[in-house]
Amino acid sequence: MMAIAGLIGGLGLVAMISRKSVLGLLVGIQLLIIGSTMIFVIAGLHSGLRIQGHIFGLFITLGGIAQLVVGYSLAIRLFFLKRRISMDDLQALKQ
Amino acid sequence: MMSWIFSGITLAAVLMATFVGHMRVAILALWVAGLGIGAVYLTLGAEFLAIVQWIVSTLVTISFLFFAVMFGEYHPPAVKRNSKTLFVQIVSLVLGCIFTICIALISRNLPSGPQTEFADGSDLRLVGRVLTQENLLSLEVLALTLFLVLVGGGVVARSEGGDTI
Repeated sequence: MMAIAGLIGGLGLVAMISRKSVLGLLVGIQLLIIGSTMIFVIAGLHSGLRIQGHIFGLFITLGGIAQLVVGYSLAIRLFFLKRRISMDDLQALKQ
Repeated sequence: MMSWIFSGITLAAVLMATFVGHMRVAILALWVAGLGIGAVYLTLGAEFLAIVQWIVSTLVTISFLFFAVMFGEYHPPAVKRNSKTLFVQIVSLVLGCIFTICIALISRNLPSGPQTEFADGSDLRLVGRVLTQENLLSLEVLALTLFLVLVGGGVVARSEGGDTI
């Protein structure tokens, strides 16, 4: 089960690197967060600290919302400037 | 057994979200992955986390669809594959494999089976007690972070001319 969680996180890493748009990057980050949350839950279950694993998973999931808001903000900013949200344009956010 | 079935569904959805070209399909696959992972949590005795995961996944999917339509990514134009794109994809696959292998190797140090038997039913009371009595400062820091991120996101995403909507 832990290997599956690692595979989910690894596929999220693949999506983060290979996707060309900012939304694709955010999808990859979400997959990475899902995988890491699952890792903590399973590790807590196997190490006898079940509730602590849940708490860590909860914090990671809610922290993922914070990064999503920042990603949306950067995407909106990029769209204001370039009229598209390609990762290649994510070099300068000032006009 | 049920957790393995839900893990398989989740893995299939994650594969689709990673490799499919259309953003619309990728976003819907991400939603299925979130629902599947919530079901896995449910089978592992993490009811509270499963509910949180379902709510977060659904809201994230709605916001992704909204922004994909707004940015014109709902039906993106086909991207030509060149040698650089292929190189980046190979490197990302290698890094993903390294990440997976590292997690699998680290998990060998854990005991093979669950150490605590979880009772059927809700663990909301226990999670709430641990969250408020042992992790109250972390909860406050998280709440402050979310508040600052919301305010900062509004500042970053403002238009240059100061126009109001």
